[in-house]
Amino acid sequence: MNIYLKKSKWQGKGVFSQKMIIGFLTLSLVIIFLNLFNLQIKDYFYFISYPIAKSFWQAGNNVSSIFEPFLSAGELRDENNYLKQENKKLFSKIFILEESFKENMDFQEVLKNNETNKFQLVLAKTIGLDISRDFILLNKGRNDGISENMPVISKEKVLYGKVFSVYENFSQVMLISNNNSTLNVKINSEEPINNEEGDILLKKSLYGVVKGSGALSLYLDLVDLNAEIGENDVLMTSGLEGTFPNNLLVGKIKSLYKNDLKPFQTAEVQSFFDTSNLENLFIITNYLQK
Amino acid sequence: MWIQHIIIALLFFIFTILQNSFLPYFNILGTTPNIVFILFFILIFFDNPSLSTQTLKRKVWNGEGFLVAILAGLFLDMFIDSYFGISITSLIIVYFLQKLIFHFLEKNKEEYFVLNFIIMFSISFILYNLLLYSFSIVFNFEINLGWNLMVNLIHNLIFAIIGFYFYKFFIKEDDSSNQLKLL
Repeated sequence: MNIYLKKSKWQGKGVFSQKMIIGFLTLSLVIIFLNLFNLQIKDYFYFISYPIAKSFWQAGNNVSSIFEPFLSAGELRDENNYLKQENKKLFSKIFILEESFKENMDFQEVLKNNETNKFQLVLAKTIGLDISRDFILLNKGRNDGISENMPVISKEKVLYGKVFSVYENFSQVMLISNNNSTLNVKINSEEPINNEEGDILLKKSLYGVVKGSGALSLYLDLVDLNAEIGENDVLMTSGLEGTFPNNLLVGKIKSLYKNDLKPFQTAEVQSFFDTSNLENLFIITNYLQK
Repeated sequence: MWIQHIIIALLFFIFTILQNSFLPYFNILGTTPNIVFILFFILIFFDNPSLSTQTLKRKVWNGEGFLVAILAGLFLDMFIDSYFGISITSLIIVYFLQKLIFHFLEKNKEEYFVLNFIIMFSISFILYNLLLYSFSIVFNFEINLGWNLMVNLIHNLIFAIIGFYFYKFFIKEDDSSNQLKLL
């Protein structure tokens, strides 16, 4: 009798009844099933949601374009955008020219440029941006020859990130602002130095590491304390880590943090990638990957 | 009732896409509102099928909240580059916590004060992010949790309060008079 009473008490008022245990077991089984077909389910979901996502993306772009002039003093916006584009192109050109001059290896530089031009690019459209993780979703996947670690750039040769995971028709790209992102960069220091002849001024090429700090922001690290770097110095990929080709635009130094107690100086970086200009991106498919 | 479930599922579907393709254009300091979480929270906040005399177990299991947590978690997991179940588990925990707090506070179910909502939403949002962060360490995926959590919370709260009043005045009132105008 006592046993019966105990049993009914357990069933009636206990935290976990038989029904709940069955419920949790069913849920666990469903989750296990979902994980068995994780890639296929997500790919299918993106496939179904693609037309709507595309429309929303376009709508977002249009709506933000409508509001942007109010926030950025009307006509100045277009002019500013144009100048930004021009500036990026000029930064790229200036940096390449300076490097050629410094190394006195014109042929080598030409070859490098040729190499850059030889990249096979796949045009991809962005259909999603997850700012909480610094990931974007592109509409090209394994069926289009995309695989992990392929670099993603814009038409202005601004580095956006690398392909992180690939589905059949879609791929997730980890932006360089992601917390796990690390890349080696060259710093185009604006501090001139004299060469041995004394009459030609050259610019130093320093190296550092750009790390993502989340929420679309970057910082520069591992720069020697004595290195002469300043605000607005341009950062470009060095290609040393083997994932990204060299001379892709990364960003420019916004503010410096120098502390004698630390072995390296760091800096806040203003990235060149623009989340309002994500629509068309290019995936480099033939660069040597890790 | 099943039509209501389908509508909720469709709403989560649309909100998931909106969150990832439309709202990023309107980010503030790198944060966008998590409208799937907001919808989930509003639904569980107003989901009170049981009387105050009922046990916690009944309150938890009689409501729609458990199903809503699974649905919302499933859609949130679609955009997490890891295993399914991470958001589902996190939202179920948030749901249990919400019910637990309400049970012990002996809240009057007929009144939905915005202050209660704000406090509960803030606790739930922070807990959800902390759970996701913990899972991200275990399952090795990326989630941002740093200085901008508070900005994110405020950003989300603005949308949540709008949703709260919308639900309270347009849906909850209809619910009480058994006229489902919007559903």
